[in-house]
Amino acid sequence: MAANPYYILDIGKDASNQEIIRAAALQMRQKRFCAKEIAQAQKMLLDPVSRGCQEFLYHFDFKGLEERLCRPLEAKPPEFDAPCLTLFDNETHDS
Amino acid sequence: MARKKNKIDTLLKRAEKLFNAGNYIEAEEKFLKAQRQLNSPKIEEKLAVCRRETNILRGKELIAKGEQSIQENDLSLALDCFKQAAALVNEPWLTEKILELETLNTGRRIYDEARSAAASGDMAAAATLYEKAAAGHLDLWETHKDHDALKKAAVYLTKAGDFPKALDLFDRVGDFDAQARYHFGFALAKTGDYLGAMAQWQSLDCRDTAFLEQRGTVLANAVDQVYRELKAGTSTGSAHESDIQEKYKKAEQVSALIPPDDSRELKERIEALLVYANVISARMKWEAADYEAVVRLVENLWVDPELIRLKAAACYHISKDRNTYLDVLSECWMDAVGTLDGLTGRYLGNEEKTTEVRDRLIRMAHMRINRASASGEKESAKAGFDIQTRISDDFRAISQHSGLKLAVCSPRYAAMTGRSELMLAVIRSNKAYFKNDQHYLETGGYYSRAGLSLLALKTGDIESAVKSLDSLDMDETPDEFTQYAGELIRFEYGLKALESGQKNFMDYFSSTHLLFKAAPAIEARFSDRMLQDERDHLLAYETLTAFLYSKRPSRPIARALSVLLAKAGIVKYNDDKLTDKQFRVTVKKALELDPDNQFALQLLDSTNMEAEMDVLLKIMGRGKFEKAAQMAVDSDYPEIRESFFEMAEKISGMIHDQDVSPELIKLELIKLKDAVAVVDRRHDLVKQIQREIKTIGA
Repeated sequence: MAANPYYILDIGKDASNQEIIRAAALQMRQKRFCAKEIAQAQKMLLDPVSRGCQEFLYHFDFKGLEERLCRPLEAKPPEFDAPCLTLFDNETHDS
Repeated sequence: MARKKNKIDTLLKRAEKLFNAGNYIEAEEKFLKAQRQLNSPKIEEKLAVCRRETNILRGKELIAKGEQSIQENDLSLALDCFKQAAALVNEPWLTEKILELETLNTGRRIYDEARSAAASGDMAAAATLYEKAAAGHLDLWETHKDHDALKKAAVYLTKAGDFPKALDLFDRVGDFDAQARYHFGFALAKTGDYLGAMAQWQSLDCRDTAFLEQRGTVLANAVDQVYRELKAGTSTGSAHESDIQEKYKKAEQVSALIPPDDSRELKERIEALLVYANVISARMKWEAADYEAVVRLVENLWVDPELIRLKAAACYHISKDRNTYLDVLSECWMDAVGTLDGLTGRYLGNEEKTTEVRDRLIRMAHMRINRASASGEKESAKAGFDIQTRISDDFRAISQHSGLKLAVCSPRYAAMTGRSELMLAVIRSNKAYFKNDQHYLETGGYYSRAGLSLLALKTGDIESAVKSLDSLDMDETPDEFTQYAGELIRFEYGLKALESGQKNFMDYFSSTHLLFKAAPAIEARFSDRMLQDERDHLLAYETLTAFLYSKRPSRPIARALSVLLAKAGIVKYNDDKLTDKQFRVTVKKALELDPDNQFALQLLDSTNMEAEMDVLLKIMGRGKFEKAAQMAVDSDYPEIRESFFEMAEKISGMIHDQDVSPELIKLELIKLKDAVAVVDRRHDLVKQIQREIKTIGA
């Protein structure tokens, strides 16, 4: 996870530049990661193109994806209210 | 009196003998006769022993008969035997056995009554009787393996609608037939265990419409049940991975079930369930940064752009430290990056910047693949990535050129999502964009029915390419792209077959002339290879190229064939398969195909010289010096003149050794000198022979 700049700075996808700078400063004080990693993470997220790439690599809309995948499964099937069949009473159908 | 006493004594002796021999039955008979007359306490004792032992014997016989009757399922007779045996011998276990048999017999009677009730259509009465029989005698039935009774009981309880009780009995049945399996499944379905019901019904090979309809409904409910469980488990936010795993396994079980043939909707639901389950699991693995597990779960899923991006990103993270999944990265990266087009503004709200992001992402993946250590997978991934990049660039250019906003997707993504025809339509309608036919056909080839085979070929997996091509139904007339891809794959595979010495290699080149016509660059590449390489399998290449020339007598093929004919000619000549004359004809034929074939020209030159040399040697040997001299004068080859002088010198020395008169030697020498002078009157040999002539004259 160390290369994930959002993880290093402990910020969300939509953090503003100001929040990024503030998060980097906080992380420097907390020393969870080395200064170089924190500086790199900040640089990555302050550059719009680089940030686009990082977002591409680290953020996924799982909720939206799952909702889309659920759609064909939402309709309820008919209830099983069929009568018991007698066709097996005198025959052997085992495969 | 004495006679009577003797008779009794004899009787007693006989009885004693039988007694001692253990024949208590006959001994008892004799002792009885004696006792009637003697009334002796001793004889009475003997009689008591005889009776006891006889009873034991009879008891054993009755027990054996009783056991036999149980084996033959004749419970009444068995009961009778054991009762008689109990009266004869004092064995406590016989009492228990009699009780057990009486219980069994009662159960059987109830069972018979139940069967009669079922036969008369009174299912409720049958079920009640079966239930009664089952409740009272289950343990004994199980002891005696009377599973048939147990099954029947469960089946009729199902028919009577008492599903929990029926299920309780089915759980004890060890051997299921079709009737039991159906009713077990039915009872399970009725109690809401649709997956369990399907597990029972899956093995029933029955095409009855009513059954298939029930099976379809149960399967649909099983899918729904697993889906709701999965969804409920993940929506609470407190789902544990083990719970998800358990539900995932259920989804896998459902997906392994075969829906009715005509139920497309159900098949789609089952597929959707498995995808959903995979994504749920993938989310948990992603959150745990287990990227390999993510890829394993979503590797073959192409249903959603976000899913492809997830797969691409996971592969990218894996490739940071390991060389695995490079092929998947290469395969899906461009599609993942392509999703940026549809999401303009998501990252930056700026199309120009989006393009910059896309270009950088492409460079990042390119570097990742290039940086990987050398391996077959790397080469394959690199080739695949280059193809995807080229195609993507083409479509972007077409998009800019036509002013259309094209949703570009890779050949595999197009194939998986049914967009191949759409992509082919774009290619066809923009044919003018492509720089030549080969460019056009190859781009379309990737999206054609043979597209995945072509991709396999281009990424170095020629065996898979041929295999997947063979699996295509090529009966219908293929479109130009499929045809091109098929011809190219067969051509490349044919060359491989040739190189590996397969005898049937010619089978793969029947339509290569069409490929060469469509793609002259491939033809030129083939021709260049034939011109440049010193190769094995020369004769096979000659056969192949001759065949290709017969189908397409183009300049590149003519040049290749010309060289191969000449080279193969040498091989055949050296193996004594060609005479001098045939060899010269072959070389001339090679030159007819390509008059600029320097190799053949040199070959012909040296062949001609050698032929002249042969003639010269023959003439000189026969003493026809004048004719030889004329030949040396006329020849274009200095080597012929040199040989002429060398031969003349040798002959001048040899003439003296002949056993003839000096006059004749002198005449021969004069003839030789004149011939040498015709070629070069200032040659040293002329003076030398002159001196020899003078010596003979003196």
